[in-house]
Amino acid sequence: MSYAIITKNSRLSDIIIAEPVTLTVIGRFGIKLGMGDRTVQQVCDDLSIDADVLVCLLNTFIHDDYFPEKQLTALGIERVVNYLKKTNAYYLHFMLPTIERHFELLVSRSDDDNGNLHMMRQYFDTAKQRLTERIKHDNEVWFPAIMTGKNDTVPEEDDDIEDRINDLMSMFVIHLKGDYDTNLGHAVVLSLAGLRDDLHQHNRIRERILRPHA
Amino acid sequence: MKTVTVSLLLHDRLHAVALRHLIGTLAVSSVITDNIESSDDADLIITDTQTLASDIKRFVPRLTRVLLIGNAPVTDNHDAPMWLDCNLSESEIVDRLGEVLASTLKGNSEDVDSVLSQREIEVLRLVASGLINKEIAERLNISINTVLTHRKNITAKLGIKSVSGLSLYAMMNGLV
Repeated sequence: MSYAIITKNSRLSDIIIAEPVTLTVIGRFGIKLGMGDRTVQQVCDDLSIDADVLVCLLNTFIHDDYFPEKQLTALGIERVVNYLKKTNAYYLHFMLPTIERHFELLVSRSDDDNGNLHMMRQYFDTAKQRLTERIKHDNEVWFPAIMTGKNDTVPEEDDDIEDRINDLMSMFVIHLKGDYDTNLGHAVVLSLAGLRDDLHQHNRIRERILRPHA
Repeated sequence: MKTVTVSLLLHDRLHAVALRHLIGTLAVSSVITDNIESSDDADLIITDTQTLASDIKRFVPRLTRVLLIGNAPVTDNHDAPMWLDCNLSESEIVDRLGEVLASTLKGNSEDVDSVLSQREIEVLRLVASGLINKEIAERLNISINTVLTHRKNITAKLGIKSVSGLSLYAMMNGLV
């Protein structure tokens, strides 16, 4: 099921049921489940959240061909940076550890002879390290510089992490060999897909709003 | 012809002898062993519930390669071992064993040379070795455009885009 364009008058629960991927976005704003039948505006008013920001980000998140560049720019760079900071924290403290946990269990409960899984695990570790380094640079150098109007620390454009996660999914889905625990294999693929999709949205905002601003 | 390695670990010697001969008559090239140590590397492990229970830790990670002889339970668990039901008729037993051997053989045959052409494998090897497109073109005496076409086809066939991902695939398939 897919949801049409979201407005401040849309019922938030309808959006989440139709597009569960938006859970990561609302979680970053401190919105919890059990929201009743309130609209986006009503939920935002209760929690002192800027409804314009949330609507804009939800639409960007669920419609890949929709990118409200003007609206996002109009929100102001501080709000955009704050959102990206929240996504970075979510990768660091939730998504990466979840994938690692599933991966560790998968390797430990699979055939010892399955060297492929060990190599794939090492590949994930490298991708994780690159993403962690990027987040460190964002938080310590780039984002503070943008907030203070300095534009001399722009990082290189980098879609390598997204490609690596995508490639790792292909390794699982297309090329996995040997014996492994099916459910844990699926858990790794699903958690990788969650990170890939979220990173894709993060990178769109990063490259099209933040970089031109810098 | 591809060879399938079968490990026969059966408590009942009569079953073992019968299956050894039956596998030999089925149209596959096979290597049959009865040593529990060598079962780790076998494509197919044929065993009974008694043997399975005696060394469960060894068998659990390899359950998808196990064919159990006995009274098959009704299950839809994909991680469960395969069964060869003792209550089937003679022709059904032969058919079932043939089916299992054929699917084991099919699983083995999905090699890189059945996915990529020889030229694509050469290009992949050089990409994985860290060469850039210009160097690959010079090494293979082809144009850069041809290298780009090969790389595009490799990515389309394998679903892998990044150089690091292609290197991992090459390593996993023994190309580098």
